[in-house]
Amino acid sequence: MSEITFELNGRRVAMAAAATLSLADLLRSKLGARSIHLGCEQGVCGACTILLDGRSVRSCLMLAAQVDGRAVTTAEGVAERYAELWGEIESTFLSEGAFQCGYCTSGMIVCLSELLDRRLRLTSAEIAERLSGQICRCTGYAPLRSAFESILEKVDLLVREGER
Amino acid sequence: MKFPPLEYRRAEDLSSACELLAAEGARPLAGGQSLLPLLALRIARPSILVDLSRLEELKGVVLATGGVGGDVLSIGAVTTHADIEQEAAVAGHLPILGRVASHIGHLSIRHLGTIGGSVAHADPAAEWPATCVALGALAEITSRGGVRRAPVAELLVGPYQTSLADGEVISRLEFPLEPGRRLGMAEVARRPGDFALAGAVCSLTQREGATEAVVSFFGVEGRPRPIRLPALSSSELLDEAGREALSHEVAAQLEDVLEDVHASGTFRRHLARVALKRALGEALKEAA
Repeated sequence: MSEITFELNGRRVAMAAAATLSLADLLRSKLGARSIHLGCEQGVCGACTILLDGRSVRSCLMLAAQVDGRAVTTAEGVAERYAELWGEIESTFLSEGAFQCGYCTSGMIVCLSELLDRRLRLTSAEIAERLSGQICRCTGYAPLRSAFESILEKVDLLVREGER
Repeated sequence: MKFPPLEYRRAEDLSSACELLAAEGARPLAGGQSLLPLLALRIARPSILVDLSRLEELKGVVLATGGVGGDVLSIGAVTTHADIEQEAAVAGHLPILGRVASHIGHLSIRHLGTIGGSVAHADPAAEWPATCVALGALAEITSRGGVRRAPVAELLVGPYQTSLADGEVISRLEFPLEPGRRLGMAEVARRPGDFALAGAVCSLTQREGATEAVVSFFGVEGRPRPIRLPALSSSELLDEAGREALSHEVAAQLEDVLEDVHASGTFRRHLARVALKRALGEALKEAA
């Protein structure tokens, strides 16, 4: 067991973690972060994506013990951080058809948050490349790209064709 | 897909890491982006994982000038792919390394995966081992017994196999800086972020009126090796027909080309040629 202290969505957590526990299992099973979805558990699908000190990582590819001293943001934390924009994000995902079974959604939200946090201005093609790291088996990706474009456009982060 | 029983130790510095790694069954953990899936799949069974990922002394890129082997760009083994992409010293001295890094996996993999981990893992489809081979990089290897240096090409002995001894860890990678050398890389993958079906890295140096090329491939043979093309004339390189003929000549030298569900050996050999022609094209665009 390792003693770990870290920040989860702005709140301090101190506990003991077994060496064999993945960070994804710690967050979902021990700490109730139900947005952490386990798809492949080998770093391919992106459903367990979190922000670690502000950078997106796969929580299934980290040991819980490794999170000591770091700051973790899950989709729950994104919803808190973007409380004012949250209604817009939800309704855009629904109206664009970017949401179906919901399994990939929290990973998508964390991926979107990384763009919003860093105020990255992206083209449609660059958004598509970001999305390629997150697998969705329902939507076919085009609705997800439209939703990302629409949200980024509202916060002035979309680069239109010909601008770059 | 849960991890097998193991002990986790976080190293405080490189020398304490070497002490921990001297124990039987100990294995270094760098970014974990390849090792942790292997643990989950029960392919790797270390008893102790020694976490190197927090070692500041093994992070970052420095320009080392005036050494015996000439100037080198020295990259700490646990520098992440994402950091190499963003690193100013890389952009200034060996911009190809930033391009190579950008091809590895997806951003969230690049945020944790490291260059030293990638070389030590020796995946035949990985970008860094082949890049180190084509550029003639040396690995600085540290153990409880001291420090040694070896060409990465000599460390890589087979698929997922290196000649590193138990208790040894790659601490830095040193890329020689040769003025006038032109470099190129290209890979073919079905989607961005996928492992390449085939990729090529090439290095071109002018010598006595001819061009000397070193080429290495990834995703093609069981390990990347330096393929030396000693004296190429300008017509072999500069016109498309010349590069086409050259690519056939190189592809004919490839042995035991990988074959799996993603691509047959014949298709991979073809893609190796495509990647080589693109890599040469990229290198030729650089000013000599």
